[in-house]
Amino acid sequence: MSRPDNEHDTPRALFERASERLDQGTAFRLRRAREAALQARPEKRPAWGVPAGAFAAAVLALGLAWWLPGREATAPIEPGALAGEDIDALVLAEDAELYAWLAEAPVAAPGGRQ
Amino acid sequence: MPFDAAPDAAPASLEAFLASVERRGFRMAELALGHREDALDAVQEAMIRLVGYRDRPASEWPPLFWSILRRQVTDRHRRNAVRRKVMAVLGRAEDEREDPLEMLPDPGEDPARRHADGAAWQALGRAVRALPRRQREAYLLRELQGLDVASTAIAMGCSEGSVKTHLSRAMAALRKHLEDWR
Repeated sequence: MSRPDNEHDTPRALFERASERLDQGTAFRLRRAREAALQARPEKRPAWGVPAGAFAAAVLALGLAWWLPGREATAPIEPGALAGEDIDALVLAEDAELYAWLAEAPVAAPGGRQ
Repeated sequence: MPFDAAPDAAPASLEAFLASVERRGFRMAELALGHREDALDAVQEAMIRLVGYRDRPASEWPPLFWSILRRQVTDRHRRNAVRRKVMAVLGRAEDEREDPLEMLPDPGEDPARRHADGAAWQALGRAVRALPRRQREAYLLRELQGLDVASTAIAMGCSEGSVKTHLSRAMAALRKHLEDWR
């Protein structure tokens, strides 16, 4: 690793210096981001604001539960049984696992193996 | 040894708190992600989400902010890994990365010093990004950000003992690189 001029310099000192001496453009954008965040109102998601993907998944699940044979004993799922937050949480959990898996999954190079 | 640079006094307002952490948050995200635009996005999103907790006691803002930012960085890190794989499959080059010297501009500073800082910053980023995720988080939050062990544990969502373990392993992995700074 490159040795800074100051032989007593440390990663922490470099980090402190980098944080204090931010270029004006980045500092300006951070200031704007802060102002925008403070002016933003917390989002209140309406009850019907379920993402399209989650809605489609819920409809598919309901359809399969109704259609599959041998499932008569299964209590039908009420459309309102899954709250929007529950569906969101399920979808987010799926996304997180998908991203984690994709990030670690081996990828075949084009024209070759693995 | 890690230090405790996190301010003890509760911030006077949420704006004052955000102003006090935005630059350090940006630098932390930049080191972890290696991409300035991603780092800016992560900090902006973390600030927006923290505002949703503005009614919480001010003493809770610091661990909340670092916890939110840590998750933002993790999400982007994974997305970037996926994007790199997709780009590799498609046979396309990875996104252009910024010049590290442009990340540390200080017009009034000695150009040689600025060049050395830019190179050191780039090397530090490479070393940090090579660490396993939890070790990287412990190193960034505890060692560079200066949070105490308890705040780091809250931000990482683990026990204080785990923080110490992750940090110890991170320091051991980085020892080779850190020797250049001693």
